[in-house]
Order: sequence, then C-alpha cells, then structure tokens
Amino acid sequence: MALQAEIVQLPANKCPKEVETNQKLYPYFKDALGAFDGTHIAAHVPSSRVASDRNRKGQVSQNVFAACTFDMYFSYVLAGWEGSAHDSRVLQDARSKGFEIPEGKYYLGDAGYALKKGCLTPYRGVRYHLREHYLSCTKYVYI
Amino acid sequence: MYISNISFPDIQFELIPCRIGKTNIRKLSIRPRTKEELFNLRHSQLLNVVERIFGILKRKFPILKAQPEYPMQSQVKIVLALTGLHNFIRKKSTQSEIAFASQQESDGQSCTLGKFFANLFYLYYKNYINKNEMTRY
Repeated sequence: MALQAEIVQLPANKCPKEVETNQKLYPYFKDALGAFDGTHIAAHVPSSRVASDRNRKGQVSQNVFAACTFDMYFSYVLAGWEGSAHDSRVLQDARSKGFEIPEGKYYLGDAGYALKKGCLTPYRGVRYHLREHYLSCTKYVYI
Repeated sequence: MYISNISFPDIQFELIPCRIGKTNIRKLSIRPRTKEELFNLRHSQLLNVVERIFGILKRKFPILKAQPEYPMQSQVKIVLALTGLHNFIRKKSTQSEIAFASQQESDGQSCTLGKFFANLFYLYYKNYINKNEMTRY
C-alpha cells in the first residue's frame, strides 16, 4: 500500500502536454489537470451488507472513484464505497481524504457530477455523444 | 428481422426507418451546431481517457470481474494495488497498451508476460525498501 501511494501520485500543477499541443483543446481546457469518474467493481460482501452494496443495475459492487491524467496514468484512486453511493458523494469524500485540486485548476467530470470549483462538467440538455453517433451513422450508411 | 425505431441504431438484424427523410435529417447531422455542442464534443474527446483507463484495467486484471471471496478490506486493497501496478507497467513497459491487450488474448503468452511484470515489480519493490532503509539510518 505504501508502494501504491508512491506510484499513484497527483500530477504536477501545469498544463498537460496533450492539451498544450492540441490547438483544438487548448482554448477550452488549458487549466485542466485530468479527468475523473467512478466505476463499479464486483464485490463479495456479507449478507448483512448486501442491500447497501447493490448498485442501480442490480449487482453487488463497490464504487471505485479514480482520477487520471491525459497520458493514461492513475493519479488518485479511492475504493471501498458501497455500490449504492452516488458518484458525487464519493467525490466529496475523496476531496476530504487527500484528493486536492489546486486553486484555479480543475478536472473534467461527466454529467453525473455537479459543476463546482475544481470540476468541469459538460453542458446539460445539449447533445453530447456526437462522435459516437457519427460512428454508428457511418456504419449504417456503408452497410 | 425486427422493426424498431432510431433509438436502437446499433443492434443488428433490425430494420431502422430511413434516416434520409426530411424529418430526420437534422438528427443525422453530426456536426455541432451551437457553441455548447462544440464544447461538449471537445469535452467528450478528453473525458474518454478515463473510460478507456477503466476498460484497460478491467481487461488486464480479470480478478476485478471475478468477485473474489476475500474480506472486504482485501477487496479494496486489491483494487488499489492493481491501479498501482497499472501505473508501474505503463511507466516501465516498452510495449504499447494495444500490443499488451492483443497478447493477452493468446493464452500461452499472457502467463509469461504476467510473470515478467511480477518479477519487475518485485525488483522495484526491493529497491524501494532498500532506499527507505537507507534513509532511515
């Protein structure tokens, strides 16, 4: 565990190379340090805890919160929340437990998080998955 | 063949209504129309890194899908340790992630690769302990 803390470290407080060298991304995200999200990992729990560990899809799981940099390194991981916990609640807990976001910087989050200091979410009520839609369209057209 | 509507664009063996009709032509356009949509497009380009990293982690270490019968405390530690291992492999490995994933598919190779990384990790760990002991005295 000590080794994990040594390897998984928060990134340096500067603009990542992936954003800096990309002219399309730089104007929007020059203060972004990385991205975070939650995922569910199947868990085996005692029967007394099964109810609280069941997630919204019906499986027993633990909610794992992870932040990563744009070059695919984990920078912070918090595991062990029960599957029923909401992502934003896990984020709140992570920020109180050492996931520090420097002043003026932020991470990218998905629409499940609230737009707060240190977290940049997409616009609501506007189309989001344009690229995926594009892929499915081309598949359809070419077939 | 089943008939369905456009909300299931990907499923095979379905007859989807013609998209080139007048009513659906706006839905078909994939270019962002407003500045909010453009922002969302750029946002999704960057945010997908975190989705990819979860995919890689779960594919590389199938124990995360296996629901092992360990105490809860160990299950939490497994996740933390594997994320550390992921970072370590990424830092030290000369292979790209794609090559690693494709090699995992062929069963014979994955075992030796796993052993190789385990050895590397052990060496690094020993190094780390030595360093710590040196600083202690």
